[in-house]
Amino acid sequence: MHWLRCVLAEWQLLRSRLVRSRLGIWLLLLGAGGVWLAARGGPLTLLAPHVAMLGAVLGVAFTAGSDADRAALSLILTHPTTPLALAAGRWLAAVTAAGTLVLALLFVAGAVSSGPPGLLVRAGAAAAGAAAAAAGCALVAGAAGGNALAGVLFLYIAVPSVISADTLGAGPAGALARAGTLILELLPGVWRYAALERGDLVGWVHAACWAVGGVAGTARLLARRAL
Amino acid sequence: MNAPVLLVSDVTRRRRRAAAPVADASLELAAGEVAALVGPPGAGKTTLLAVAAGRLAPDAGWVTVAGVATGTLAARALLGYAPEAPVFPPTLSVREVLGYLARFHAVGIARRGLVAAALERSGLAGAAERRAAGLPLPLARRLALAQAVLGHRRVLLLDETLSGVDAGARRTMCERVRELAASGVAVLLAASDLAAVEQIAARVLVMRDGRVIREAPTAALLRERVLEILLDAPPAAPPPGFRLTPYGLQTDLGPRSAEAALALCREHRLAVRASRVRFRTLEDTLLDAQGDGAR
Repeated sequence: MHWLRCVLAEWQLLRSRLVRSRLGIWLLLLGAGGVWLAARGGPLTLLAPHVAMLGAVLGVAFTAGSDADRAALSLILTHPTTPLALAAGRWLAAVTAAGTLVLALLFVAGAVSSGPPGLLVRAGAAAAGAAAAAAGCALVAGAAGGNALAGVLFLYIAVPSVISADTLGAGPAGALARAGTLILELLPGVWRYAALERGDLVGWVHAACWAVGGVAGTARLLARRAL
Repeated sequence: MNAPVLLVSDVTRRRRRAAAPVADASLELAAGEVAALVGPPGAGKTTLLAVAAGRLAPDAGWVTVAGVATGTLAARALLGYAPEAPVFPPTLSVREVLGYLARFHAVGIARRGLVAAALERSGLAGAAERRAAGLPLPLARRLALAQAVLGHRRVLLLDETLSGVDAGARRTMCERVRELAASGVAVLLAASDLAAVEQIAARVLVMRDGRVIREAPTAALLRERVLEILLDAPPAAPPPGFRLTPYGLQTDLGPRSAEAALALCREHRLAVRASRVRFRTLEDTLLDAQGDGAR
């Protein structure tokens, strides 16, 4: 019970970040971009996970990755909370930010287009899985390298992660292509999580691994963090 | 002495990054006791407090808080720590910082009571809606103390919390620390502000090069007498037990009389122009710890 209270304490930081930092503005811009693309025929099953992943990374950047947030950990961890609760709460906050964004996107997209309700549900589920994975990965990146690394992840998710590893692997072989394929296979990617709406088991396992591993890895990094 | 609530036993931590090393440091703190760590910069005060708070792991030795190993969840509920340069979560107001941290200690009405009491007793009620991250140093120190007290902790570690504030703020904070000590909270503070130490610490531990080199009740330290002698010409070498100063000589009298010490000077054919006896200050103790180079 105490652990859950600690998680909740972290999650509640989200509200102040939404209204007092640029997180709210960035999420609005991202959502507006998503709606604009959806209105021009962009596939929701691809757009929703993409927007959710970007929203999750932004959520982490504004709740956990900044220098001030990382420096404040020294003080926070002198209170009876745990690194795991801290990581889990901030992961939850980032997923909540992304989830709210996707809900808004799907609501508006559903209102302006005439797609079947099942499509919206499937796109929402895919987006939830994608956001969970991206938040886990961004937490580790933020804990290890701050917002610089989280920014790199954001750019990776924004553009290259749309390319399928299979597409890259089918091209001319070389060290660069192999490295690229490996990165696309390992890191959370839009190409992989777009398949979640079809119930792709490998994709769901991949997302679950990033979500759980990201929280656990971040907790470990925070626990080892010294003054 | 009561059973110690904070027990630091043979703690050693080698130099790592910017943290000064600590070597074989041991101390005990009883409930309601206020003790101060003093020493020159780099003496290891901050490192020792961070080890005691469980923020740094010792290479050797151990620390317990009311019988619980430091750094554990149970110990963190019992021990409050105010770091030298506190960094608060960004975007939160003073009230929100206390509310956020109070969630780790209590729920519901009890939590709100903790926050209200912390704001009131630390004199932060007027600044409750200000952003914590942009507070001026005196208010940031007050907030650091307020958050360390949250949850009725039994031990407080204050790293320079009483330093860098104006006289009024210092008095308020000293009164708060006294009030906490009267309620049974043990307080260990590292301070370069010796005025605050003289006001509230019952015991002083002097650190140098990571070691506790002297430990004595503050009253006993301040009772020691010092003889200062003004000479016509500086001697080539001071008599035994005397130190050279820019104006002449100085010696700790101990049980000796001033006349006996002056007689020793005359035996060494030193032309004494004037002399005076004064009580020793904590600054003298600190300068002794820093060595002759600091004089």
